[in-house]
Amino acid sequence: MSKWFIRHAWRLALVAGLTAMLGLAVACGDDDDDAAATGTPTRGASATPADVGGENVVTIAAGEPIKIGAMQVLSGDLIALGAAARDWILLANEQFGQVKGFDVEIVEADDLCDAAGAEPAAQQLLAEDGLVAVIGSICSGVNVTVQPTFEEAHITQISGGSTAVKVTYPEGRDPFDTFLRTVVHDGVQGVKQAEYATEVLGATTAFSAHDTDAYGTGLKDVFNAEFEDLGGEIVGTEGWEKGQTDFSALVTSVTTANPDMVYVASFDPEAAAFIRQLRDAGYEGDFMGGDGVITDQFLTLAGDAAEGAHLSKPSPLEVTPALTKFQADFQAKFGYTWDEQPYTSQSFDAYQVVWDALNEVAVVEGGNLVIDLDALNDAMHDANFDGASGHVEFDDHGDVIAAPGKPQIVFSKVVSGAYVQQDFE
Amino acid sequence: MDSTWAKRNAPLLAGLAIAVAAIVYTAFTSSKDETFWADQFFNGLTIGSLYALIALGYTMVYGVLRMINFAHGEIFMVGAFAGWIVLKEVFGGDGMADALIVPAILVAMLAAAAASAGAIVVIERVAYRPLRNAPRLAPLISAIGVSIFLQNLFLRLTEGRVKVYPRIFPQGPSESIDLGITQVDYIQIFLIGSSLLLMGALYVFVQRTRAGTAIRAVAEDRDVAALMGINANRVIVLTFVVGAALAGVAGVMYGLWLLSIKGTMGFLPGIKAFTAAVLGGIGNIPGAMIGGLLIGLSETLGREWLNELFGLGLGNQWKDVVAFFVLIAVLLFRPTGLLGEKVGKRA
Repeated sequence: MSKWFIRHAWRLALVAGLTAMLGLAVACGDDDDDAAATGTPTRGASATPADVGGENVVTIAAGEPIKIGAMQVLSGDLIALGAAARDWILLANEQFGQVKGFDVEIVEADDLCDAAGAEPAAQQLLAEDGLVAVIGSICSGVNVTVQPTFEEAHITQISGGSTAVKVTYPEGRDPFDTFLRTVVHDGVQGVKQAEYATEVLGATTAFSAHDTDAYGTGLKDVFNAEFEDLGGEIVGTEGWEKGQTDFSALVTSVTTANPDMVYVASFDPEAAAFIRQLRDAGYEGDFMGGDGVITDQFLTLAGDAAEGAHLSKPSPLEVTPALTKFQADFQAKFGYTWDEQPYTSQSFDAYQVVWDALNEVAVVEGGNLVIDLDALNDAMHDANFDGASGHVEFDDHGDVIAAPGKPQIVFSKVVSGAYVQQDFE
Repeated sequence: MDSTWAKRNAPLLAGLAIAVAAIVYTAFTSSKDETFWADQFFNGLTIGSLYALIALGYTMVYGVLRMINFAHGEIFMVGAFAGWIVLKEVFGGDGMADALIVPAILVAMLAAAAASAGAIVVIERVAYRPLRNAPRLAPLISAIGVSIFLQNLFLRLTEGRVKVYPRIFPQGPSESIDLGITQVDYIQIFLIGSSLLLMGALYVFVQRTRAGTAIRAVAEDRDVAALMGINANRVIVLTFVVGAALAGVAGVMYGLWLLSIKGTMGFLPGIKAFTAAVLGGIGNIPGAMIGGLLIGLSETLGREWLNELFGLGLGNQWKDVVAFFVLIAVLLFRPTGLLGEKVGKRA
């Protein structure tokens, strides 16, 4: 036997090494995501690298269109979210019309909602002549990958989704000047969810499940921290890769821990399969999810199991006449309602931010349209109007500021297969 | 299993013995009760038996052609969709009468097997046979191309949306058998049972029938088999068809169990099943079965077990890491897999 050990020494060493790495990865994996919103310098203090004054100018020849990218997830499991956002951008494009006599064209790019699809989508857009801005992505995992690319190109991104905190509070650097979002971030949502969980649901123990991308891990970190601050106990935190369908092992962990509630930070296909398998296994506690889950597809996929689930999303509360009109126009154009899709009216407003800024800074010179990208960026930062999703105004990080006295997060409960909004502020 | 075999495989047997001892040890000293461990065992067995069914296709094709059919995961997906269409369109989906459920499932499985087999016959003719005598890498790349094509074809046909199987198999809190130590869901028993049945049938088919003998002969030496009057092309197609039919049935079982199906659903199970085939010894049929169950168990039970033994906090997201870790650890000591034999110059 000892001979065997000597002969296989390097193999044994390799297995031992791999085991050690596994342990090490686990030890480090838990605490790398506490990018909190503390002490980050403000926008004024940060300088864009490679800022060669006045060189970043796009000239549109007469008869050519101005191009705005729509970087969205347009294939795969999350198409329901991405296509709805894209359709709202197209609607806005139709309603707002030309800028100083020049057409505006929407160029679509599919970002696959993951890091692998992000850079190709960005490069596809940057290769377009006449690109001035990009709307999207709604996926935080995409944005953290492409933010440096667009920063270097002086192209401003504005997203109607993408709620991970670290998108506008990047670790170890100033916030990206070239990124804005018309949606409130998970720092707000996760805190509200934890308050709802303790105050409305009366939960004292929670099992936290999440997908392993930027959105899921970020949101669950905020929720977990706030839930524990409020006196609750997190009895387990486990993740999954996007696309997982068999949750039986995870469900066994949950039913063994038997918490008051199960919290999920992910998108709808996984959340739907997970809640169904939970209910089939006999789990009867509360279930709560966020803006990635609250879609029509979640109701279809989860069926009866969705009943009684609590879900939140960033959204306007009041139905303004403007919003009702947009809704009717949208239905007429695309043939489906958008009610329960998040990131839709926010994407519409993102388009208006770009369109307003274009009108402000674009100059007609000798029949051509000249757009200074940095001036456009400044004008977008200065946006201040009431849009389809509510008031739009940005803080130093590029996050939207809520109008005073208006809740930024609304909660719904699934009752008889439909989302019913709950009173909670 | 003579004594020289035992001697030669002493490290393997020792490893298995240590693993079993550790599992038994943790089961008794664990902070979690036996029900938890029994549940995880059946969870692992369920997904593992699906992996095993799919793995058979990889291993059989490798046996006769020395080729990895990387489109096999998509064959599994095609089967799932075929079964879904039959259940929804022919039998009326969710609203079907109780008396129809058993025949509906059987017909769906047959249809899935037929659809998967039909698909592989076309693929073999178009993408593999022209490359039969090309360098080893050419059919491999061709298979990857087929895989990407089928994924995107189905994504396009379904507009990238998830399709939902009719919920006809009884699933729910009370739909289980009480084993004393834990409750096992009917669907899990159904999956494990029918997988074992199919694997047994395949084993008998390969060992006891003329066609099975022909497959084994071609696997051993295609040229000599041809000299003996065996039509090698037909045997190769037959091998593909049998493997594809099993994957198609696995697709229906997957759909009945997990309900959500989509164009990319075959990718991960395909990779896992391939891993299972390699772990068991690629080309070896019982090896694929054992490999499948082992991969299933290591991603559920193995992960929890590592957590207990070493105080790690490996969440569900680590299950694939653990499964592939087991693969690497085994291959380091047995490069041919658990039951794989050293193959001569053809390998």
